Amino acid sequence: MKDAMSPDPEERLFAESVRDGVRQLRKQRGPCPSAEELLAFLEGRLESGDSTRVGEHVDACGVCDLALMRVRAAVADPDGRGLSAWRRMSHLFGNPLVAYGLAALLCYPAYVGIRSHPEQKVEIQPKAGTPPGTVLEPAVLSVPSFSLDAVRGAGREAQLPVVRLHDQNKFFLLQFFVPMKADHQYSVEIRDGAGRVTVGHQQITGDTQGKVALMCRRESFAASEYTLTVAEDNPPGHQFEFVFRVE
Amino acid sequence: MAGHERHAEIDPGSAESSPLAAEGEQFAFQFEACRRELLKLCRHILGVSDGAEDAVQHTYLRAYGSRARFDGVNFPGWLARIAQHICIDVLRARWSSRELEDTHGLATTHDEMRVVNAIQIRTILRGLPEEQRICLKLFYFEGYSAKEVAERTGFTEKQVKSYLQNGRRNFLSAWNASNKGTK
Repeated sequence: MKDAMSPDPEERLFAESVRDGVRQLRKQRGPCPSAEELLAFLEGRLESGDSTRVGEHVDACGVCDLALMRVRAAVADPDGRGLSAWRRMSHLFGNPLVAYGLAALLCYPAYVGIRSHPEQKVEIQPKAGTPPGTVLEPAVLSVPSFSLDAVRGAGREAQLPVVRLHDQNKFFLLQFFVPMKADHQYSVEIRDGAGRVTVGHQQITGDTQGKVALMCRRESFAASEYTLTVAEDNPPGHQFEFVFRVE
Repeated sequence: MAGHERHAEIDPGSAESSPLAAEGEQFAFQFEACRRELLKLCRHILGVSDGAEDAVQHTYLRAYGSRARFDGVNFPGWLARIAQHICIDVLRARWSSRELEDTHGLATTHDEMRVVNAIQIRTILRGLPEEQRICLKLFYFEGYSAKEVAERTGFTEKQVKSYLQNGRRNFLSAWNASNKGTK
């Protein structure tokens, strides 16, 4: 028997175990029934004796068993759907070319998504007459705004205004009020809790009522307590102090 | 139309206006209406790629030749039955009968010997899943290699080996269980 030559001892042992029984069954099975008889057997149209004979033949004949299996499946599932459809799908995806192709197809959108993820850019329409190639800043930028007026002159005992920022906030606005005089110049200085200068002596202006707004860069302010000092420079005069904390 | 060509071969030289020609035309027309379903059936039985078209043509020839025996009740069913007959013959023609090789003198010790008799084999095989049972039969009863079984059944060689391996395991489990039951 072919299998007996197999190098696998288990296979050889199996072949030897069934050898005599298989030979006996082959000897008993006789010639294959006709296709008509086989179909009649499948449909239960044979007489009892004939049915037993054909059944015993099928038990011992791989070819007739295969033919019956195929016809039975074709009659039960004429469109070839169901399990055989799954089988076809598994054959399809079992093909390495199809599997790798599909994987590549799925990876590509992920790759594109990763590559094109950088921050969204604001579409800016250039003004008429702007030279081509000019890099334009957005016309409007939304930034968080914080008022320091609540603690003006109240000292450290009062609750400090807190600047809470998210990672995506690159700028924030500090607003406060100082009684500005039209013919005076004012400057601002900001120091952190350790007394280090964060923003050194910059001239500022406010509106006619003395409202001042400072656009601050997020990265310049680590989490700390800060003191903002507004000074009348010219002529020298009052100083106004605002304390706040950045978190 | 292929059916018409076949008809011309079967009934050569007949005048187009003769009753026989008209009957042939009518038969071919009816057959063509069933051709798609027949092709599906033959593909299903034979496997997608192997000779389904030929089987349908043979069905036409055989049906036309035996049209006198058609009882007039269910033409598609009658054709399907003929197609099934043809497919069974085509399937069988792929397998030539082989003598099993002699296996005397195998290197197994007496202690390992298990002898499964014919009745046990038949009973156990009946209880196995269809694919495993058929692969075991084609391999052990008919003497075909796994590769040959794969070529003729439409399974892949890997599938055939898997069916054989699982089939052997299930066979032995069933055999062991039946032995325990009889003790």
